[in-house]
Amino acid sequence: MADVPDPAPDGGGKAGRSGAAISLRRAFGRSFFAFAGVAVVLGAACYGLKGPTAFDRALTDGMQMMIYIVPRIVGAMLVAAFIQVLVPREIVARLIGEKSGFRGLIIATLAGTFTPGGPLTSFPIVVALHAAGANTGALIAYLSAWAMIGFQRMLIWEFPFMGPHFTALHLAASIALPVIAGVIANRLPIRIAVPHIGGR
Amino acid sequence: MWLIDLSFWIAAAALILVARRRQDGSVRKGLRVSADYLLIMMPRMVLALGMAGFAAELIPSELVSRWLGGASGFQGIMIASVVGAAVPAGGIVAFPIALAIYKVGVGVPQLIAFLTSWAVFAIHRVLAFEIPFLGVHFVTLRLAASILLPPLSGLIAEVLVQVMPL
Repeated sequence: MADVPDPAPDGGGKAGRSGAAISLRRAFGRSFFAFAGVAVVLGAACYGLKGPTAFDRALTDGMQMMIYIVPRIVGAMLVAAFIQVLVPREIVARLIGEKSGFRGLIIATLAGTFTPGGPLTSFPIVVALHAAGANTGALIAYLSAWAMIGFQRMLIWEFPFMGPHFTALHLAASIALPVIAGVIANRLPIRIAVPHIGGR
Repeated sequence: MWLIDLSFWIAAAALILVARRRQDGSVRKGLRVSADYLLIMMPRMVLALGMAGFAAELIPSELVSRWLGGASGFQGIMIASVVGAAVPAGGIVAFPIALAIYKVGVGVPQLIAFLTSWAVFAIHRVLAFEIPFLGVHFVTLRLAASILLPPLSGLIAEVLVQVMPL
């Protein structure tokens, strides 16, 4: 399920040997082999249905793309990792908690965009914000921004795969959407009841 | 293209300098998180690229360009929105699909609607995280507030493509 990795449980603090072992186990866990299985099935289907030429073409294509995107990925991951280390998530939470109204929605959108990490990072933040009394629209805007234009997913997946032009266009087309979701959510007559777990 | 890659390395270098000035072990921590990311993501990237390549060969390109091509317009955007909602996994599945259909001629607005829809509905995330953490009412409210966003993103992209063509 590794989509955007959540920070390591130890916060990446200790660079000991056990830390490296944990990373390795995370890198080659069950989900990795599930995806490897899917890749093999797709490859076999390609070979069987479309013949060896198509199979070779797909592999060569993939290989060329790999060479092309590796330097890009390394650069993007350095940026993603250092932003994660330098911007503590408490700052993110405090920013949204204090503001309300339309400005609150914009700040929530920005905060969601810049929240590093996967769902194990973002969902606890939403729960905490709700407990602190943040307005529902802001929570929706925050989560939508994280899901749609989260910088980490864009850096790690979209930018290497789809290239800078597409990524820029996607970002431009989507940047207002979380605010719109927040405005609509504030007008809909649905009351939310957040379960009392995970809040700590 | 290389200019953009270069700018990322410059940004990385600048961030490392900022971390260095803090003198609290941030540099080490940052490098360690980067190494973690690389270790976790690289094998998945290789798989994802392989999947994208094979899928591009397997997907019937006439179907994609007819129903989701640049000329498919609003109808294509709607189809892409429905298809995106049905992707039950994270980036490792969504982006190979996106890349594969990009290779065989999907229109840019349609592809953006697909990605928005995937981000909004993300069934796997709703079931594994959102309902347990935030409850069914929250999910209902969020989906009700977001259901029009995938087609909207496609329409906005349609306009943007005219202004800043790829």
